[in-house]
Amino acid sequence: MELPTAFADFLSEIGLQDNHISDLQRGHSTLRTRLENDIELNAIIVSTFLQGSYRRSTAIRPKNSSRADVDVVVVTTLDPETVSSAEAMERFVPFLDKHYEGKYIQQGRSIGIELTYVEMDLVITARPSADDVKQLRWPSVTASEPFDATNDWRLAPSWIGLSERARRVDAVQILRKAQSESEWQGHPLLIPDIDLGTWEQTHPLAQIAWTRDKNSRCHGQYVRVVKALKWWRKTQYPSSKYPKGYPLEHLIGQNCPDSISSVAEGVTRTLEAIVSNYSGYAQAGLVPILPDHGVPKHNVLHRLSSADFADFYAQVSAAAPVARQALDAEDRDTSAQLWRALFGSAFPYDEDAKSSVSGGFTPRTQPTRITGSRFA
Amino acid sequence: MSGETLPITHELRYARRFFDGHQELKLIEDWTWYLDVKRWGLCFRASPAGIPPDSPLYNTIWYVTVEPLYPWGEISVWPSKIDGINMTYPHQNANGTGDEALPWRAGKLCLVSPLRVLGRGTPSGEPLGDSDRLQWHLERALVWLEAAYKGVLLAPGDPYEAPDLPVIAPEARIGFAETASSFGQWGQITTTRGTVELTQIGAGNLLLCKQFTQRRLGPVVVAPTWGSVTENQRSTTGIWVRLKRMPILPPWQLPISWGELRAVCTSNGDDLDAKLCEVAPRIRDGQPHILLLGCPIPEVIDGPLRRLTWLGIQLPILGRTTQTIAGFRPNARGNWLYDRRSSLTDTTPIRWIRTANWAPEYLESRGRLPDAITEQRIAIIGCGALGSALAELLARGGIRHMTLIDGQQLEPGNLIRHTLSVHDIGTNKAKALARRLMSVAPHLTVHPIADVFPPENPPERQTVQACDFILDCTADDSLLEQLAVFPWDGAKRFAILSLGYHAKRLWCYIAGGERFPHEDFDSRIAPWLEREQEEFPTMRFPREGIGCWHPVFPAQWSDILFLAAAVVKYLAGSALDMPSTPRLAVFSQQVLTEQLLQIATTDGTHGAA
Repeated sequence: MELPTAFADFLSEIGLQDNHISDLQRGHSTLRTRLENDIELNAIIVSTFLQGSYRRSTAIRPKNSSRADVDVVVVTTLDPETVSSAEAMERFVPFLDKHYEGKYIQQGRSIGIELTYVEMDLVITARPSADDVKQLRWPSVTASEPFDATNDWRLAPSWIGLSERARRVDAVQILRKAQSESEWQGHPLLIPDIDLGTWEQTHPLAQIAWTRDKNSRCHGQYVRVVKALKWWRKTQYPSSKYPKGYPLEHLIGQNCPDSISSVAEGVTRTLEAIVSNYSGYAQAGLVPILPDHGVPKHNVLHRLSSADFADFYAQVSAAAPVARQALDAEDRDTSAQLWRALFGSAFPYDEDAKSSVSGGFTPRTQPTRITGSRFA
Repeated sequence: MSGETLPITHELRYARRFFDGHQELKLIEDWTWYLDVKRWGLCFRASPAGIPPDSPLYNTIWYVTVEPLYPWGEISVWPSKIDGINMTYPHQNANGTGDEALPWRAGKLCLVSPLRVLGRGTPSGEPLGDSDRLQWHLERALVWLEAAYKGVLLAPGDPYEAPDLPVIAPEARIGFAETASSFGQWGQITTTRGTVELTQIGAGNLLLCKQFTQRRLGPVVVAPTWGSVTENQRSTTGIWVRLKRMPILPPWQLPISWGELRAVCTSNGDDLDAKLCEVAPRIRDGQPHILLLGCPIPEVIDGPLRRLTWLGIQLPILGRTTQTIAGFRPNARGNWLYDRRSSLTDTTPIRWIRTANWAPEYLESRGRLPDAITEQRIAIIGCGALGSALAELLARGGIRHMTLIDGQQLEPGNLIRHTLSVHDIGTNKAKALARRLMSVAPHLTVHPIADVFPPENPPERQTVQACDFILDCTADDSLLEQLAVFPWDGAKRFAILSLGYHAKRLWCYIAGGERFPHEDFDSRIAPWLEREQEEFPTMRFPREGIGCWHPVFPAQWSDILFLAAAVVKYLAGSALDMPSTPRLAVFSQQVLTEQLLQIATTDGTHGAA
């Protein structure tokens, strides 16, 4: 059974909670405001924008540590021909020491900033192609919300975000105009890779746009399927490493069928698709090559070893029949128990659930209360 | 509209779980907080299995609202404005468009009814406080829909109820008194229209139907009997028209426009316009008037017609006969045509007003005393604490005739244990109490005598003689002698009622006959008074104000009411057989445990607790 209300409750349970969202909003707005106001840096900053699972609406709540994380891209005017990736990162050190001393760490491709209330991943890019500079400052790029906060997000010059809409009386006309404008495709950006000593391509805006289109073809269920399967992996196989994060999401995206009508159907058919599409790879001990949207020559799964993929394939193969049984079950209780086997206690199974308010409640087997006998 | 959202409780989440996989109910919109009405609402589609898919009643959209305290509190099911039903059925409120700001219509379903038609396979009571209460309601809504489709929402034998009023004009509320016997009277009368005298009650908009006449100042056709509350009150005139049947549009709604009313009357064989045209001249005075439509109804569905009920309409001001209206002859017909085209057109909305049947069997149905006592003509001598308590208990219990006798005025110190209020201070107690009682019991006829017993003037003495049951609530020993020597004109029942110290006890002495047996009373009460002395050796009496030492006996209103209520049961029961020997009943409060207080009654001869 599809159990729509149970899945609705499950997804609100595993998604980012209000406190996570307000924390990460505070974190990234502060960081971006500081960057833009920094006298040394703002001369070389073109724009800042959000990427990552928060922006793509595929983020799940952090499990053990209670800190949410958010990814910030800062586009600079640094020339990749003359400035090395290491030097580019160095340029940000004074700023980081000033505002985030002792709380940041240089990683291979980004700077991790760890505060008490949020974790941020700061990615620096080199100078973009000249035709892209203006667009990178558009509200549709710099927006602070996930792409599905509105149902009309697109990379168009006239598009404005929620807070701007509230301020303008002509918001309706502006948005109508934005719908009619053609979408900007843009070029990949260059980000540093310290380990390789090079600048590497990436196209986060293309990934966000792809997610939007996929979600639309799936009647809004795609991002929910991603969250559900990420949660499955995280709770059932907490020690498994790769694939995780964006590669896992990308795998799901490639295998989730279009026009699904529920999360339950999406989860089941995605798992089954992975089993059938990659059986050859699993048997041969190979890892499939999945081209990145926007930078097709990149293989999203390049970090996976064949052992990683084989383990992952085995996990999916074990999960797919359980999902199928859960989906096909005709009894609500049986179905819920099976879904729970995949998703753990976050999936509501009300027979043993306890009310958080006062006492417990149990489905009524006999009248527990005599009503209609007291008068006044 | 959703506004500030409260957090969704666990109970609300669980409540809608049954939608998952339900064959006949589909959740369309999950819980939304409607700030305007402070309710959580969800939208669902109902596709009952017992209704064929081509029926308009299949696949209808509904909203259900619950209070934040779910599973406690109110649950209501409403038709959606979009794709919901827009007609009114039985067991449904009038299904107008309702509040503009809300997505549902006003036609709330009545699902908690104990009627048979809704009892399909469900346990008897609504599971208040249980988590599947929402499911219970929505499954009953499915049953309701199937019954609506089959046309069996009104089953033969169910109590008859008129459709809900669509819109209620606030200008007036009408009370009438119609019973099976008045229906018989109406049956003898051929007139089908006339004028009605409406008596105003109180300062508000309440009107009672005093009498129905054929023409103003003509002979009375039917006049219900009312108590003293309708005497000396202002009246206005309305018009009445009798119809052959209730003007109900299918499935079960009252007309909302004059055009609909005309159409349904015509199809019932009533020519409404002709009758209105005839009576309209009586109310062409530039004032707004009321129209009453009399309709015969049964007590139960499909039962025989048993009584008349009146529907009320607030009419617009009709054109005056003295005005000449261009294009219309200055006669009754001309005037009526003018009204028909200006203020009573087919599209004019009808301004229904609330009416209710105030006949005693309906008005007092919640708690009337037995006929044996309500038929007694009761006199209460002494309108103090005990007297006022008894008088109100009896009046509200449906007594028809009461005489109140007291020579004193109400003082401020009386308020702590009396039914009267500050507005009555300085007024004679009997008069003030009579005024109060006639307003709490519209069918009570009450005579106040502002004098000590026995009254001086002959009409008042006559009134006293006409009483059957004399209650003495004075606790005055001299009064007993007055009762003994008064020349009663027949056998009477006497009850002497008095309270002991702190109202621990109430003594009720009952005697019957043409003479009140004063000596017998004294001998029976004496041992009890001795006991009071023993139990309360140093009775300390509170004082009331400065001045002459004026002791007042201590007792709380709650004690007095407690004992008065107990003795009312006795008076309405065994006190009514004419005893051959007088007897003394003693009611006393006894505290058995912390939580249990009882009144023990004793036959005074045994002198027990």
